[in-house]
Amino acid sequence: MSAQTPILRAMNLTMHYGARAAVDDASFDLWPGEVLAVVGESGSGKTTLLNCVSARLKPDAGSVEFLTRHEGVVNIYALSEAARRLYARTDWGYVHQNPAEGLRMNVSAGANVGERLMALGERHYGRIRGEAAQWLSRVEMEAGRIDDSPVTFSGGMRQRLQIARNLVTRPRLVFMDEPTSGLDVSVQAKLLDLLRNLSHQMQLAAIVVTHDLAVARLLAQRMLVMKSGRVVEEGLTDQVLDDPQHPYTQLLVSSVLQP
Amino acid sequence: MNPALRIRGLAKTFVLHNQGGAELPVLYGVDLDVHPGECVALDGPSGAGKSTLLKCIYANYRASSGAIVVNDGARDIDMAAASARELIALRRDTLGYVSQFLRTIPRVSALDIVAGPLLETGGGEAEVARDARREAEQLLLRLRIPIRLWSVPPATFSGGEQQRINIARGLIRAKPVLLLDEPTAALDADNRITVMAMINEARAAGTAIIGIFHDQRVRDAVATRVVDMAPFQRAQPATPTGA
Amino acid sequence: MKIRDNPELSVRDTGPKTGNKTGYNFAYLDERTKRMIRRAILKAVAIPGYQVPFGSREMPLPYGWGTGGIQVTAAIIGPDDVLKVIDQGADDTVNAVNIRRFLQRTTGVATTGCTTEATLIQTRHRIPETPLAEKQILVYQVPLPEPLAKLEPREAETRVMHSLAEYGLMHVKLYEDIARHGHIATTYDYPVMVDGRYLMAPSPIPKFDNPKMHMNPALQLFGAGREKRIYAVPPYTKVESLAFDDFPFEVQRWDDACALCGATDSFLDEVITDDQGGRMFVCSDTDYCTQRLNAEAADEAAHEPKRSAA
Repeated sequence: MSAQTPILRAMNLTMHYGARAAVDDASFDLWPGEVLAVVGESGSGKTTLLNCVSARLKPDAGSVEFLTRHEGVVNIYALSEAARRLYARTDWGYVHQNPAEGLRMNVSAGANVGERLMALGERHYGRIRGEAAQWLSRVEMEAGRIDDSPVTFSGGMRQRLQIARNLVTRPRLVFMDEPTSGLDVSVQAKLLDLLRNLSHQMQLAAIVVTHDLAVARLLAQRMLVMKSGRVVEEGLTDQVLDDPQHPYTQLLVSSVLQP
Repeated sequence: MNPALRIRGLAKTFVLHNQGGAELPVLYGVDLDVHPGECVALDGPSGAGKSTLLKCIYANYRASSGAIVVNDGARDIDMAAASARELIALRRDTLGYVSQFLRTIPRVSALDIVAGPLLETGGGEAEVARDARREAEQLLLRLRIPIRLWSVPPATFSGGEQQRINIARGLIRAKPVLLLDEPTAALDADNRITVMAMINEARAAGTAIIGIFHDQRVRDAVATRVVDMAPFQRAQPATPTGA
Repeated sequence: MKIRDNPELSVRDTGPKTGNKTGYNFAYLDERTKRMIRRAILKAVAIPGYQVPFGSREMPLPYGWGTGGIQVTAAIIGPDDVLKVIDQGADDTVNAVNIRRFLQRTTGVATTGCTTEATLIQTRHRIPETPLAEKQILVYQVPLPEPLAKLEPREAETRVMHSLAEYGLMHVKLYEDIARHGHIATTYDYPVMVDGRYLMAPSPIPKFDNPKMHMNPALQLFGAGREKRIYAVPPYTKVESLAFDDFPFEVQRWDDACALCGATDSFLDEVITDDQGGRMFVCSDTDYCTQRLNAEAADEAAHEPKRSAA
C-alpha cells in the first residue's frame, strides 16, 4: 500500500562549518516503511546530513518536513523545543554508532528500555518491566540480563540494547549512524539480520548512514551517494551499486574489496 | 490483448568514467512486445546483451534511453522514467526476476529466502508467515531440495541448489511479467524438466515471460517465440570515443 | 537623598534598638544583599519548587555548614521574630547552637526551643513533629538542590528537563532501586513533585517527613549556599512523593516507641548505650519529646494532690 505523502522530506539542506559546506543543497524524500542508505566516505557529509534531518543540528538553509501521526506535515525546525523532544522520544529513533552514547551506562538494561515509557507517564513498575523484558527478547538478548548494567555488555549487545531502547515506543522513523561499524563480522551479521527483520515487521522508515556498501545493499531499498557534501547519485540500491552512473559512485563501487 | 510488457527504443551504453570515459555500447533500438501467456527467448551469443536487457527491464541497470512500459493493475508505467518508489512497488507486485546467481543474505534460511516475496505482502502476521512458508516448502520439495537444507542459509549450497532456490523465489508469487536469466544452467536432467514444467505452468496462467535459455531443449520446451539480439547490437565504433 | 542618609541602604546599622552589638549590619548581611535574596525568595514562592539562582555570599562558615539556610533566614528575620534552630531535630547539637548564637548575636532577636513559640525555624535534615501553623516559616538547609544531579550531571540538560517538565529520568532511578533492592531504596532527600509541576529535592530530611510538606500551613523556604539556589513551597501547596502505582510511597516505621516519652508517631534515633549492643530509641525531635514529657508530668501533677490528700 503506498501512501501519498513522504514521511520525511528534506529540501535544499545546507550546513556550513566555517567556509566549508559540510552539506551542500541536499534534498531527498523518504516514504513510510522504506529504508534509505546514505553512503559516502569520511568527510562526505553523511553524518551531518543525518543530524540535520533528525533535528539534532539546525541547518543553515533548507527545511525538513515530517509527516506526523495525527497533525499532518510539520516543519521540524518550526516546532517548539518541547514538541521536538517529544517526537524524539516517541516517533523517532536515533541509533548512535557508539552505543554508549545512546544508552545510560549507569542504569540497568531494563531501565534503559523502560525510560521512554516512564518519560511518557507509565507509572506501573510491573508493566514497565514486562515491556522491557519483551523487547530484550525481541532483540535476542537473554531475559536474565534485564537487571545488568550495559557496562558488562559486549559491543554487539550494547547495540542491540540501544535498538530496543529506541523501538519501545514504536517509532515510525529511525535514524542510524553506522549501526554496525566497529563490530565483529559475525556480530554485524546478526545485527543486520535483526535490523532487517525489525524494520520489515514494524514497517519502519529508516535512514542508515554507512560507509559499507554491503550493509547498504542488505538493509536499504534506496540509496544516496554523497561526496563533499553533495548528493551525487540517488536511486534503487541495487541499481546504484550494479550500474553506477556518477564517476565517484563508480570509483566507490569498484574500490570495495571482495573476500 | 494488450502486451504485458512494451519496450520501445531501449538503448544501453555503459560509460566508464574511471577509464577515461570509455563508452561500452551494448544495446540499441530495442523494440519488443511480450503478451500474457508468451514466453520470449532471447537469442544471441555471449556478450550480446541478453542479461543486460533483462537487467534494464528490471531496473537493475539504468536504461540510457527508451521506454519500458508495464501495467501495474491500474495504469501503464514507464519503468525507465519511474521513481525509485514506483519501481519498488512494481518489483514487488508486477515483475518477477530470476537472476543468474543467487545473492545470499547471511543468516537467512533457504526457506525464508524462497518465502520472502510472500512474506513481503503480509504485515508480519503469523498466519501469513505460516502460509508463505508452507508454499515455499512445496516448491522446495518439488525442486528436490533436501529438507535438512531448508533451515540453512544457502551460501554453502552447490551452484545447482542455489539456482533452484533462486527459481523458487522467483516463481512463488505469480506476477504479470517474469524475467528468467539462465534458469537451468547448472541443473541436472530431473530438475531441468521440473523447471521447464514450472515455466510452462506460469505461462499457462497468463504470465508474460522473457528468458535467456542456453540449453536448446529448454528453449524448445518453453519458448513460444525466439527473438534474435543481433538487430539490437550497437555497431562498435571504429575508433575509441574521444570527441 | 544621599545614600548615607538612607537607613535602609546604610552598610552598618549597629543601633542599640536592634540589640545587635557586633558591629555588623542587622543579621550580618548588608541591606542590598537582603534585597537580592528577598527578590529570589519572592520568585521562588511565585513558582513553587523552581530553583531560583541567587548570589550566595561569603559567610563566616564554610560551604556545607548551612550557609544557604542562614542567608535565607538572615534576609527575612526581623527584630520581632522568635527564632528556633534545629539540627537533626535537636536544638542542642553543636551546629544548631552555633547557628542560633550567630543569628542571635547579629540580630538580638529572641530564641526558643519550642516549636509552637517560634516564628522562624531553621532546620537541617528534619521537619519538626509538632504541626506548624500559618505565619510560621520553616527554612531548610540544602546541600544539593538538583534532584536529577546524580542521574544527569549536565546542568544545561537538567535545566531543560525542568523547563519542559521531562521527569522520566527520576522514575528511572526509582525503577533501578526496585530492580536492585526489591523496593525503592531512597530513604532521605526523597524526590517530590510540587504543585504537580516541578520536581524538587526536599533536602536530606528522612522520607518519614515528606508527608508533612504537603498542604502545610507554614511557608517552607529552601536555601543552598554552595550551589547558589533558593526554592520554596508556599503554604497549602500540593507536595507528592514520587512512586509507582504498584510500589506506592511508604514511610519508615519502628517496632519500638520512644524510650523517654513513649511516642509511637515520631521519627526515632537509635542510641547505642553500651558495648554489649545495648541500645534505645528516642525521639529525634527534642522539643517534641520534651513537650510530651512535660505534658505527662503536668498530667501526673494534676493527679497527685488527690493521692497526697488521701
